[in-house]
Amino acid sequence: MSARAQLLLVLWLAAACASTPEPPPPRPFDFTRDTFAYSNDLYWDYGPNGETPRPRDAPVGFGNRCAPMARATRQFYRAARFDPAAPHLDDAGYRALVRRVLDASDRYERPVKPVTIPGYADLRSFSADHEELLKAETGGRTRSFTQRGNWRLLFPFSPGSQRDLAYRALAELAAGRLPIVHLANFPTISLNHTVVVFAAEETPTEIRFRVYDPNHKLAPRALVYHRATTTFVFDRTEFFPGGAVKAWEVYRGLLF
Amino acid sequence: MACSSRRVLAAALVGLAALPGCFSGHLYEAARRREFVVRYDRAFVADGRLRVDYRVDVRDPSGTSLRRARRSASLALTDLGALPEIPVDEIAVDVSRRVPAPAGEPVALARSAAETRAAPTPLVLLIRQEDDGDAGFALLRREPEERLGGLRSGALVRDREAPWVYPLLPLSAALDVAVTPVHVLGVGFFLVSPE
Repeated sequence: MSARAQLLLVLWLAAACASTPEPPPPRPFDFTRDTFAYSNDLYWDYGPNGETPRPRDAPVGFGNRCAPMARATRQFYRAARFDPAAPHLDDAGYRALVRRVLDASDRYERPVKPVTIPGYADLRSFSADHEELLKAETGGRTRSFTQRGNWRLLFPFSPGSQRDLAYRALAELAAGRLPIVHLANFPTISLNHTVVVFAAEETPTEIRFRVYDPNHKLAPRALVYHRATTTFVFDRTEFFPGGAVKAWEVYRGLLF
Repeated sequence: MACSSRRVLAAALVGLAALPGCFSGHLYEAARRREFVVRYDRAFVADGRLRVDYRVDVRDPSGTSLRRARRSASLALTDLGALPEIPVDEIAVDVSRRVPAPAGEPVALARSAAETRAAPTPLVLLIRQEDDGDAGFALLRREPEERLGGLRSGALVRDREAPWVYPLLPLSAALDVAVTPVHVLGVGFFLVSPE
């Protein structure tokens, strides 16, 4: 390699290493503002006790999107800056901005540049007015089926891996980041879901994470890490009877 | 004959592919035994540490009780009384499967205020009970009355592997080499429906 080529390589590496860090989010995550005004639909009817799933009678228009919705929620929190005082755009203008937000890297290792969304105060109001646009841009079911961290589902989870996740999630929240967590209990498959962790409360016996569940737009759910048994327990929901789950972080690094 | 053998081999491979992947991991997970405190038996204080002897319920991953066993644990009195309270997974407790002979200043065990008052020793371990066993204790000095600290039984939960798993690991590892790549590409991405 010539001296000039070596110099260029060094300069390129230096530039790559010195990339501008991502600006911190302007405020803490607010469930009533930073989540979508619509929900991911369920493909199954779980009955009153959440334990006897059968296919829904009615057609499902927007289902199996928990992973892309969770990703999009974080992308908007990271990259979108809403300006309610600015004039509204037409659909094409908003579509272009949404694509800039969603097409940015979903890895915190790669900083994103803020994108201003005019005419709205937050994601909740924006998604209420532009539901179809956002549903189309968020991506189809394939995004859930091919999420790059799905492979982890097959492998057992040691107590240490669950403990590491709980403490890493705490650290990420402290740094203003939102971990996205895949929850499953394979091979039972009574739960296979993705949520966004946005707050935590610690006690001597547990860490109570508050999560945004894309299936539930009304209120946060709880994902509780029990310190003694190194176990995550997810809330009872309309699609899960509640109980122990395995958890791993996704949209993180190249493998997850 | 050769055709029949190929069919058997194909059926075996299909059968293996239908099973959950990473046999070694699942085997290891199935062999995990978790110990929960059910009852404290006796306690001593020596060299700035509290020692408690207790019985545990050993359970398999489904929570089924397999057997009872005796354990002994010791921890620093300073950790016991630390404020704010040290979380159960961070407090330093030495747990031994061998219960040593009594040593140090005996600490009476009590399960009520009346038993605490009637205790024959200056130090008392006031045990908090719940439906599934002893949930924790407070270490009390009777005169002058003082709470020296406490421990939740969650700090004594321990995981161990059943020894039968180790001879099986070479076989499961061989299966993993053959089948896991198929599982990763097939089950992980396409067969499990997310909600």
